[in-house]
Amino acid sequence: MRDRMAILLLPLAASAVLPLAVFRANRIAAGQPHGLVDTLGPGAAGLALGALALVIGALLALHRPVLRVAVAAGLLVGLILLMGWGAARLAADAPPQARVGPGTGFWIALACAGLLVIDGMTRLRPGPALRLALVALAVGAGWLILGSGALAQLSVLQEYQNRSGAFWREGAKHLWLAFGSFGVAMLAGVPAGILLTRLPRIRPAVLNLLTMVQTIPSIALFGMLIVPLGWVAANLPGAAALGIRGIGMAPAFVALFLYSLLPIVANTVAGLTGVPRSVTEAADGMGLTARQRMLRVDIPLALPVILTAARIVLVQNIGMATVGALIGAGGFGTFVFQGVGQTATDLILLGALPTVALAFLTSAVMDALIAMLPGAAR
Amino acid sequence: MTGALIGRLVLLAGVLGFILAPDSFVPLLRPFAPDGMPVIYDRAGFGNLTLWHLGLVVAAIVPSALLAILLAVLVTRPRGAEFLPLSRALVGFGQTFPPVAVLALAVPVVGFGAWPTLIALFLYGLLPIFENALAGLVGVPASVALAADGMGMTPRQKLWQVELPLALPLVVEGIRISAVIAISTAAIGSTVAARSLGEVIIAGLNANNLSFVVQGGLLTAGLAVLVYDGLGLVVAAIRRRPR
Amino acid sequence: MIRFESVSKVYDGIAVVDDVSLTLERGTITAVVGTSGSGKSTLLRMVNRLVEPTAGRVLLDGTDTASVPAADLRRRIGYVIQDHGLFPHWTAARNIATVPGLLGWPRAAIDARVRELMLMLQLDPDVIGPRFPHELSGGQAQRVGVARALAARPEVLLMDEPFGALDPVIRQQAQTDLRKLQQQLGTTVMLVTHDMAEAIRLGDRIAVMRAGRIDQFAPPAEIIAAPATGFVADLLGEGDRAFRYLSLQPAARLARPGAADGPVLPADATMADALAEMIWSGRDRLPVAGPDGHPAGVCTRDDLIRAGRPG
Repeated sequence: MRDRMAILLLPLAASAVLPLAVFRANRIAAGQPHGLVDTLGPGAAGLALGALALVIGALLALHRPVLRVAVAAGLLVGLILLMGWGAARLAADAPPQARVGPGTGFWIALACAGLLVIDGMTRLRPGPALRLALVALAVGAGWLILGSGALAQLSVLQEYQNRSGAFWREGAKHLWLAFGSFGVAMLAGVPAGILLTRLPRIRPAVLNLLTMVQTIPSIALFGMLIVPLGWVAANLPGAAALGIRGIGMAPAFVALFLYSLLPIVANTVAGLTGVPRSVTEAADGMGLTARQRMLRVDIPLALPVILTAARIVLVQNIGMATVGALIGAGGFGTFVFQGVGQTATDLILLGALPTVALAFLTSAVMDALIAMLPGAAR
Repeated sequence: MTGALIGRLVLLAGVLGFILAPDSFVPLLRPFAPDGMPVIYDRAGFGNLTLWHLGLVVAAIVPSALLAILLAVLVTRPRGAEFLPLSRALVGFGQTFPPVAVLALAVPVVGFGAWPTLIALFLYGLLPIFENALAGLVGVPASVALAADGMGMTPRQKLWQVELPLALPLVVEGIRISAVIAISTAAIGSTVAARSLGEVIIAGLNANNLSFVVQGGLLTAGLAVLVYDGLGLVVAAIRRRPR
Repeated sequence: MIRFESVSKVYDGIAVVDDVSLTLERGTITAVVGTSGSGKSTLLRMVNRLVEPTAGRVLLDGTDTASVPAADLRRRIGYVIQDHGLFPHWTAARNIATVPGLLGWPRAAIDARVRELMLMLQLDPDVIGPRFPHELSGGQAQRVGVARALAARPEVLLMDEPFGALDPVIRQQAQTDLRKLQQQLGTTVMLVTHDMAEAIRLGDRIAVMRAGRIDQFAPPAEIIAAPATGFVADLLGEGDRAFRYLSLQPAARLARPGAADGPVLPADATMADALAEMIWSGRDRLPVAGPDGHPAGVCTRDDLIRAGRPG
């Protein structure tokens, strides 16, 4: 590696002398840092250092991005497994309420490895099919590692084991909030966008209104929606039976739906009005009816732009659904805000990590799908 | 045009009116407050909270903008070009990170109060500004960049006289996006004990007092819309008078 | 005087410019013609060091350009590019003032120079001066680009497809204007173009480039009369070689004693003009004016047709 990315190897090397793990007497107690030797024992620490030196040497010697990505990905997985093993070793001679979490050294090394993987990937520019395969591989590997119990003694997973039922319940709510509101917004937004291309007079007014909605801070919109939904629940027969209530899922769902509208409607309009005039004229000239032109020419050509909106909305919804926890809508945000309340880092991580992973996966899959569309620019 | 202007003035008057004389809104808000509970949030003045809220945003976004522009300049110089694809990928990756997660994860590191909020606003604010500054700098037409070199501008003269002025509208557009996200995140910051208008909403949610939720929500929303709109006027002014 | 001495530029093992030696005389226009990718723009950009040669050197009035700091060198050389490259955030006047500004001229001197140049290029300083590039027509933007390049009175002017973005009618006028301007200022011009007709019209000498090498370097008449390679002949085109050749020679040269009917051909008319007039007016003899404007002799069809074939 003769290039400037070699600069990343410095913090990577330095991470070896920083605390690998943090030991807490219980889940909210102050942590004590433990170095590499403390955590792994002298023998394993020596092996780990040797392996790290080998990895750094390999990264310096290798030039082909493929090999570098492979080494960096190996480092990433190795680090996580090492952390799990170290946590188990420390936890073995500690009381059951003690917790072992990752320390600064681990986080820095993990960030360096992640950056090296991302850098290698941007140089490789894999095609969409390969990207999907890599996402599947990463998910599979993550599943295997988590399922194997190799990380079971890590503090985040201890939090998980204490509330695994709630975890999946809140996860399902989170998915429903993010994807459900997105689905409804697509059903409403795409036709609205098509309609707006026919109504250029009111188009700016509608888009300005949606922009204003998007500007409203999430907690304000979530909160304010309690009022109308509470009124609906109290006054509309059957609404309460459908689960509509002033607080909880309903206002969060409606808020996410409203936030979703702007990107979907705006991109539908942009995609349709962006179809080159020469193409639409050719379609008309060949005798396609307005309906045929819409279905066979306009929509397929606008699809990449519309799907880009879908990606933006999904990532945004997955993130914003966490705020729903503040109005009782559930979702992973529940753990985040509980964790903040108890200053329990591990509980915050239990909510934040799956949210980030979900957003990242969705974004990667959507990007690959958009690139797979016929005629899409990679 | 005049409609938009009237809308702006009405919104501004409403927000200022509420901040200065919240009691005059009691009749409107009373239906939302449960019996026997205060109608207007009284644990802190609205002027005070608004200033705190805006102060957090400004204190975070100003350094955020400076750093983001500096980074965008660095990765568009020949020496930093190697980091350009990586920095692009990182910005994409960073934006999949929900602001709430950044906020919550800052608490264990720096404790409660204004600091975790400032850190979250600062970090999250970097992304849109960096992305837009990058687009602005990369978007300088090739012929213009070539002409600047050909006229004998030094790299520094080219940056200050040509590249940055041409990127300015997009940079301000980035600051606008960051500011709106920051206002939203600063409101949530009151869950980690930062002072902001969000505290009125949270208090309302905790006490089941919808009047607090509505007044806090409207005020926060009004603030966000005004800031977004105001910065939009700045962008339009820069674009109209290119200099 | 610009002198290329065995200059090469290699990108990734491919020689874009391959051992070129060329001398451009002071006060002349040299047109470099070639297809895209022939290395002509790269050759041009080595003069103001936008491209550094891999081998060889470029001399400007005997000084190795590599010994002058790039920014100083460029401020002494005018540079005009195809899409004019005007700074979109500056007015036309401020664009023209760029190099004098970089050189630190006093404000008043800059303003006076901008005015002088605008008048020279037929741009109204009070109307066009305060406009922004997007408010200019293609022809105006092109002239502002030329004015900007000439602002600091450079002795050398580099032009990279300067008329490429103009439509044919304006292009012809712009070419005529350039020729006049160059004669007036005595600037040494190196002009890159893919258009052989433009090169013939403007160049005192033409360098034909192919795959990084010079196929032929000669005055236009010689290029037409004796293309050195098949590539040069292809660039010239088969069809109108004779007319091009005629268009380079003054009709007065063929004048022989005698008289003829009809309107008199002006003294600066070319042989091509004479032939066209003959065909159009149905005559086979034309009176030709001498330097004083009075008929000095006649030009016959047979002489013209003979003159159209070199050799």
